[in-house]
Amino acid sequence: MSLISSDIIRGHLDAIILRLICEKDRYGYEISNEIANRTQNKFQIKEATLYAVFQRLVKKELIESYLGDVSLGGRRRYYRITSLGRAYLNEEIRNWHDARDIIDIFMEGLQ
Amino acid sequence: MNEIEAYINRLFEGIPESTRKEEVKLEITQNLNEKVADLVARGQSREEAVKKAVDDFGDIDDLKEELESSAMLAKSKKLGLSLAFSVWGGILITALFLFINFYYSPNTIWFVFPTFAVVWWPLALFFQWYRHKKEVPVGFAFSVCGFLLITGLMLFINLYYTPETIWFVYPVFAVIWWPLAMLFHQLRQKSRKEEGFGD
Repeated sequence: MSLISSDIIRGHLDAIILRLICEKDRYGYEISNEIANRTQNKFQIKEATLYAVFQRLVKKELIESYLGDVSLGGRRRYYRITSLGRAYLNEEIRNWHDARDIIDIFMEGLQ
Repeated sequence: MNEIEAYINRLFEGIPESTRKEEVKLEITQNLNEKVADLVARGQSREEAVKKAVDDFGDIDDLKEELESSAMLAKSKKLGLSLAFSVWGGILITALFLFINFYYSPNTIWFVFPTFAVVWWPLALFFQWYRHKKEVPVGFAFSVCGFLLITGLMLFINLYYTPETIWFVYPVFAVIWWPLAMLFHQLRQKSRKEEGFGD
């Protein structure tokens, strides 16, 4: 994946991760795996970035964490979306559709 | 301690200690161990798996920033609570002294003395909170407030107890060196910073 595309995605990481947590409660490694699988390895999130996003989302009270099942000697920390997080995600999806419509006007139909 | 734990400990070395930091360290270590185990299960050697996990981890700067700002926010909240407590405590203590003064000895005003002592409590906490929140030096502002308080007290004692002799200027002259010194210290620090010496 080119650097520019990767930058575009980075601007929407909060929404992407919120979307994955919105589907079901998930933990860090599961999310990075899910991103790689769904994009067929075209986009892989760095763990350092992923945990920075978690911190940001928790601080904004968009997600909350809790300790779940035990794996490899430690308990996994799961994240679940809050009602504020759901509202934020819906807003982000609306914003994305609007932006995509505008960009499509200029980018589509030339190739 | 395995290689992943050692790597994460090294990465987090510069970040201020907090419960959140320990939780995140634990979480990342656990998740990376799971990744290593996954890679080993897919046929990689443990060394290769650890190397891949470490190489893929990425730049910790964003995470560091988030953790530092979380720690700052938590400290700011704590300082804010202490400040609120000191304000209410100050008000209550002052009200008590006001009552005792005017109920038992209305002919002599003395409640200003304990009030003067108590007011330093919220004042000091306010400036501590403000310095933390705005990340600015507050020494000069604190000294000005202190100067005004002491001047007010001296003025009161002078005019209330010995109005025939004006003497409050002498202690005021002594105290004025405090904000003056703070002002020049602050200006000196500023100019050193501008010259590139830092603190």
